[in-house]
Amino acid sequence: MLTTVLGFSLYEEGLLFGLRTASRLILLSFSILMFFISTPLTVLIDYLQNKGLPTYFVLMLLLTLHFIDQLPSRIHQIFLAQQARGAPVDAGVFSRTKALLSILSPLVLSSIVESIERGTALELRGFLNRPPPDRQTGQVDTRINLLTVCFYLTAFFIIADSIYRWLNI
Amino acid sequence: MAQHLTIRDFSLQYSASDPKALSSLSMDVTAGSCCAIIGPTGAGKSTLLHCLAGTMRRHHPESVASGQIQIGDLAFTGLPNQILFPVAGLVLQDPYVQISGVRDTVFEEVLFTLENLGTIPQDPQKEILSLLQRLGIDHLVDRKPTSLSGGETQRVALATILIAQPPVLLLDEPTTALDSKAQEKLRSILFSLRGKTTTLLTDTLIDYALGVADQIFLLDHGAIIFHGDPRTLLSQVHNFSSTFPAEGWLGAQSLLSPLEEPSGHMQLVAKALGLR
Amino acid sequence: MNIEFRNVSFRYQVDHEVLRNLSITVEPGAFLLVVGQNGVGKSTLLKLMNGILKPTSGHVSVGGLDTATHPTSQLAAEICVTFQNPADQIFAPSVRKEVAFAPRNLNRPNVDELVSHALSLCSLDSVSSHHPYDLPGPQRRLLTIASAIASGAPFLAFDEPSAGLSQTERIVLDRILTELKRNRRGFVVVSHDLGLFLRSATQVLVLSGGRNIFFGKPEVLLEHEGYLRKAGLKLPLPLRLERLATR
Repeated sequence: MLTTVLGFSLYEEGLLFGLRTASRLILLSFSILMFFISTPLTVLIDYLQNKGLPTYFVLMLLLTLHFIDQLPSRIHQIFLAQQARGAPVDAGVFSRTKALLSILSPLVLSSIVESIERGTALELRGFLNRPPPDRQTGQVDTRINLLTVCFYLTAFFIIADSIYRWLNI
Repeated sequence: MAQHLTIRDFSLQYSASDPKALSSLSMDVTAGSCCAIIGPTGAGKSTLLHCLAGTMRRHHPESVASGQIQIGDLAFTGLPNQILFPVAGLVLQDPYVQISGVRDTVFEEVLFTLENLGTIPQDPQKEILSLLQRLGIDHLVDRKPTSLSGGETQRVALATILIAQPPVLLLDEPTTALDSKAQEKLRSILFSLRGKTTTLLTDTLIDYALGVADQIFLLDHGAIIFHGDPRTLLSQVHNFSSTFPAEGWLGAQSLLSPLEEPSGHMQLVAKALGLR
Repeated sequence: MNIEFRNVSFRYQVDHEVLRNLSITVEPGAFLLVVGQNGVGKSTLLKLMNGILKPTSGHVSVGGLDTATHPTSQLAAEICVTFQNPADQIFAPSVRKEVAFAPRNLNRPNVDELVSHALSLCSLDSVSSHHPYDLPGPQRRLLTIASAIASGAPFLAFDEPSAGLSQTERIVLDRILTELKRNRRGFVVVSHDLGLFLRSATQVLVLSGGRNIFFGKPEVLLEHEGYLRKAGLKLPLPLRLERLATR
């Protein structure tokens, strides 16, 4: 046993199990996220269509990714608008938590409304009947950034740990 | 090639239990002309445009419609059950929402429409550049479509629809997001489209429409309460004071009172608008 | 207690100067209309007024408070700035709760009174329990205006308050501004809509290239259209008609 926290006993095996499970979940999420974040939207739809994904699903994905792309600037705009109405964004933790709803709520509401409009606009340009592109998508530039690095590091450690454990058995 | 647009006795309910959103509308729009539909918020202007564009049936499958819509040779009883692009192209109110976000330059953004339709010409460069020139945005050809001003974005959105040469062009409150300069530019674009495309635009204010439309329809609570040319409308100002309060007309409160004689008023407005 | 700009300059980056040496004063009960083409610094001006942006040089003070040394949440009690997009701020499940946000944040003692007054002034009483997104677009804009009025701040600032409003709402807005002027609330409106605001304004600031090319009474500006032309603007149709009629 390692220690006791709030009346719960913490064991080494439990801790390692937790870490291992968590890293596997993180690896899974990163793999999915990595694909989308490292592929520019401009190339993504052609690629997915080539792989046979129906245009309707491509549209849904497009709208979701656009929302994620816009998140930082939207949050900033909303933050400024609410701050100008006296929202306590520079006060204590409790006040800032109360102010959180005034940031998240417009973010979600306006994004839903805008996504519907965006989807309609794409439909109105014939997107849903889009023929699969003739050209094959060539090499895709992957962006090297913090996320990519974390992904590869995590993958490395998990694989290394698995190999180590396998060798020890 | 512009096409004639006719609507006969068209009514729409969002669902069988809802009141009529559009009531027995009848409209005749000559091929190549520009027609404005003016009405207060909730009158049914956007609803009508979405019916004509074909999105109504898709987004509201439980809606109930009756009457005839005819665009050129295409005739529908009730609602068209598919999106009519490229026969009818609809440009939405918010220009930013129409930029797909999947293309890096204005050129590619306009080309995107042709990719969707599967009709990329031999020389897309030539066609797209020529269209951008006509709209006064050829200098933006390599710019990122998401980095433009409201007026520029709207013209790009217009280009993405016009590239398909739709016989009918529908514009939903196009002046909302525009400043006066951009509104003037749009006006000259609409003039240049005469003869080539049949244009239908909606607005809540009358001023702009008076200067661009050949025909004006006033819509209130889903019904047409007036149709005719701008001059005729001006001579009947006071008949519509409940929908369009007299003091709100043309935004000039002081203008109407000193001018007792309607024709004098009309002459003045016509002169200011540059109408013949 | 005024809004004062003393030799204010602002630049976003080293080579991007947006405002140059601006000096203006807005008194309580005044209505300042700020006009100019897009990108000329009108929105920046508003952000300088409530401390979101601090001037690169010069001083901005609102209600006696220097914006450089006071946080926006404190300045919001003196000036409530409302930006262009209602979707950036609407978050509450009812119109009434939305309007109550600002006065509650600012710890006003008479929140209910402020809210009721704002709702009735903006003709929103009948929809006070509705969800804001159940209202049509133009009414949502009036909602943002009501939210600002309810803040109780002596100065209100609006960025394009008439955008997207139909005839009916424009009349309501005109009435709101007249009433606010009567109650000695000061306000600053950034707008292209000269037709609606030019005649009710007590002062007009015309910006071009970051510089103040005109600051004075609207009547003077109407006589000297050259200033507007210099800023790339035009007198709107109704005012042109008026001039034709009175000549």
